[in-house]
Amino acid sequence: MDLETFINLFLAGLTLGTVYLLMAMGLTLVYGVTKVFNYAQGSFFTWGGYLAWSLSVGILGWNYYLVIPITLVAMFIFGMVFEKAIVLPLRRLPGWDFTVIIVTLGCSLALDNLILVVFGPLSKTVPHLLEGTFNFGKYAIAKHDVIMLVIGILVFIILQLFLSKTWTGMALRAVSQDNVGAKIVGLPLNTMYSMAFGIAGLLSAVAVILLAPRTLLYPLVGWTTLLKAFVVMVLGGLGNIKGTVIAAFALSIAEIYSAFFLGGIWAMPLFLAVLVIILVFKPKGLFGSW
Amino acid sequence: MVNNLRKAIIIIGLLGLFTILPFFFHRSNYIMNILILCLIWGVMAASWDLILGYANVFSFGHLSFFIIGGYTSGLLAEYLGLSPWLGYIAGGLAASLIGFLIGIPCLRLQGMYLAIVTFSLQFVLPTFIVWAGPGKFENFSTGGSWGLERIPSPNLFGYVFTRSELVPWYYLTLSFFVLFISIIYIIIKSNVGLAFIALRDAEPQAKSLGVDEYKYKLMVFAISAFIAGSAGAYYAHYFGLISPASMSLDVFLIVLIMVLFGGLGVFPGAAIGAFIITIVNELLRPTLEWRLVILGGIVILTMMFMPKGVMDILAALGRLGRRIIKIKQAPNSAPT
Amino acid sequence: MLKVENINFLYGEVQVLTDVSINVEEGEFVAIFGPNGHGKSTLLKVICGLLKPVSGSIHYDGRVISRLSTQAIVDMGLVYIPEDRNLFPEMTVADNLRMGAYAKHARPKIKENLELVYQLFPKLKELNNRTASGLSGGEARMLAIGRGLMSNPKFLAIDEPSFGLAPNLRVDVFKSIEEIRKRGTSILLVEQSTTIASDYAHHIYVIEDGKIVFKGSKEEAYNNGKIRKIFLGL
Repeated sequence: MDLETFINLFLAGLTLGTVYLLMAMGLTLVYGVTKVFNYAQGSFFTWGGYLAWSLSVGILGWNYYLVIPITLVAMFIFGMVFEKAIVLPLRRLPGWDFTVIIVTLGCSLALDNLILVVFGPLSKTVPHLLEGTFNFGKYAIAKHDVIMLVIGILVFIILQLFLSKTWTGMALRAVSQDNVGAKIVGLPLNTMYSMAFGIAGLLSAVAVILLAPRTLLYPLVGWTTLLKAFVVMVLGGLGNIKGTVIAAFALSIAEIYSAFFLGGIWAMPLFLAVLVIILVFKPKGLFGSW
Repeated sequence: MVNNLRKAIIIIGLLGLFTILPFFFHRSNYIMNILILCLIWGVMAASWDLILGYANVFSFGHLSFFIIGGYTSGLLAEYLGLSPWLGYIAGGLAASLIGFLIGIPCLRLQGMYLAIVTFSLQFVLPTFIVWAGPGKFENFSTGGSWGLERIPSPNLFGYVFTRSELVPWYYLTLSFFVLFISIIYIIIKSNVGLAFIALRDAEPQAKSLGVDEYKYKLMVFAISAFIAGSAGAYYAHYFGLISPASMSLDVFLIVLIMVLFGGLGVFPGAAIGAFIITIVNELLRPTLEWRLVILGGIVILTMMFMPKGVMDILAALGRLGRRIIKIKQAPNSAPT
Repeated sequence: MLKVENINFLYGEVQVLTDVSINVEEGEFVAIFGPNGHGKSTLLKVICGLLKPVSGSIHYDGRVISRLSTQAIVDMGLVYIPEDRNLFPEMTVADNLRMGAYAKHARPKIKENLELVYQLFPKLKELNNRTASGLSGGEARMLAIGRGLMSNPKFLAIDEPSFGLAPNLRVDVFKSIEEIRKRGTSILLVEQSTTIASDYAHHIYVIEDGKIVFKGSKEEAYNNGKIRKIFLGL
């Protein structure tokens, strides 16, 4: 393997890592705040991608740079509506923490197949954020990957700042740390729940916009990303930011290199094997505190 | 006492009903096929309910056992000429063994973790099947993504079952269904079943009495895997074909819905759920691509309004029925 | 200010509160005593919206609050400080206090209230950057009360303010609570240890088995033989 390939693979690994990181952050946030594992988050990812595609190259032909913020806002709203319409009503029922798993699975079934109905099974191509490569002497690095990495990290930093410095962000953290404590200081729990789902929707949209240009868009595209994000979440330890970051990049880089040497289809088994091994020795994840 | 008598009557009545069904439908292979599928999925769903609803183990990989059983039996039939009758057992054993091996590390995990680990099997198993497909090994192939074909039908004292004659298949399947449902019922009513009800309703007390949760969970995991594997083997020999598509995400969700629709941990809810969903699934076929969207919608609505599943509705209907009877019998006396 | 009328509460099949009625006038200090597990904490939780009564009504500041959410009740100035404290374990002392001021009416008063909290509990200023999970029992209780104060309460419902504290700290806590009351906040507290609290209380209630068995002043309680036993925790 020459240096250029090594660097490009490494970069691809880093960018993939930010995608997993953002998805994992979304999952963690939702789980921490609402205590719900959203099995339909893969569908958020897919819907975000198809929305971006339809607005730009697919149907309406709008400028992609305009489409991106529209998609982000739309998916944020989608997440909030999803929570209000589907998850919130279930909270009143007994045994809701199990029911909600079934319902989110049912939602993913409906949502994914709705995409299939509307758009058909063939893959769609999503535009790159920037075409072409940067050229350093004889090394060429894909511009898209660099931008992906920058944006991904930027979004992550903004998220962290939001969570630690703003009232709403701190409120979200408070709810995830002590539900009763949150009530007695007057936090509007229902609003926080919706917000968590909304942010997860937004993060999924960012993730798909970053990743889809490379992997193409198809109706079940969200599932593999969701599962990998889950592995990251578990490995990193629920709520442990540092752990999640490390886990995201470690796994993504491992995935890229193993795909290069062994072939892409082994990514899922690899992730699963790693997950099982880690959980056997540390049932709370690598850095878990949960 | 009266309750048991009533239950016995219902069971015999249903059995009788199922036995004579072919007399009405034997002309339609389409309907006979649906009935057979209902029975096969009924066993599969009931076995899943055993681990999910009774033992409260968030195992989402149960369909994998079904597939493992199917492939094992099919491959053994193809490469070793094993008879399907033995294949059903072999498939069950293979699934059970793998279930046992997976269970040992995984059953110690907490709910959510276990759910995702077992769920990932959905995605991992097809990878292996496709990998060991045509061309990979010289004398062996799983059929890859095209699947295993020409799986032989069972041979009963010279009579070879064939898909052009579904009535014999139906009775065979019915016997298979009765056998396994009875086994499941016996397990539920046995000490193992009691242990789980104790664990479910009063965990600390049960544990202090020495109920070893892990051991029981492992046992039920292996047993329910056996049943699922056997069902899978049966399925393989019935269709003559099994492929990775048989465990696609759609199939997974539909079978899971069967279990939940019937109500978790309420015997025989899962089997009833399987019947209803199989039929609804068929009825929705004319909607083509919309079928799964609608099915997903049904799941959502069901859980919202009937979180305990079909058994809840049946129980409510039962109470309503009894109250109507009481009112009819004594219209002038005050309600007690 | 607070009028609780004929509250009944069941936990599953068990009747935890039977026909409980309590009155707290504005600016008063009212204490509820009684043996553990007889419904004192449950009563506070019902008043503050964490639990919903099966029957009966609760009036606060002229409005019926029996069916309101805790958030709405906090917005009205009724703040609950639980026995479990329910602090945010991974946030610092400073952040915990800050979160206390989330409510709209509390935000403009953050600086003032923080000053007040540091005045009453100087130790909290020292511990500003300590994570809540790393606090001792006494420090955590101070933080819980401090956080409650940040919500700018007109009425404080406190569950076991002095539980687990060293005797000298206990005296201090009640002194602080009386300070808070003097500034215009009504106080309803639940306590197991009667000695100090009863000195400050205008009225005393005693709950036994989920029912009010006594209402009156400290002297009346002492003179009532049967009540005295419960009162002194014998």
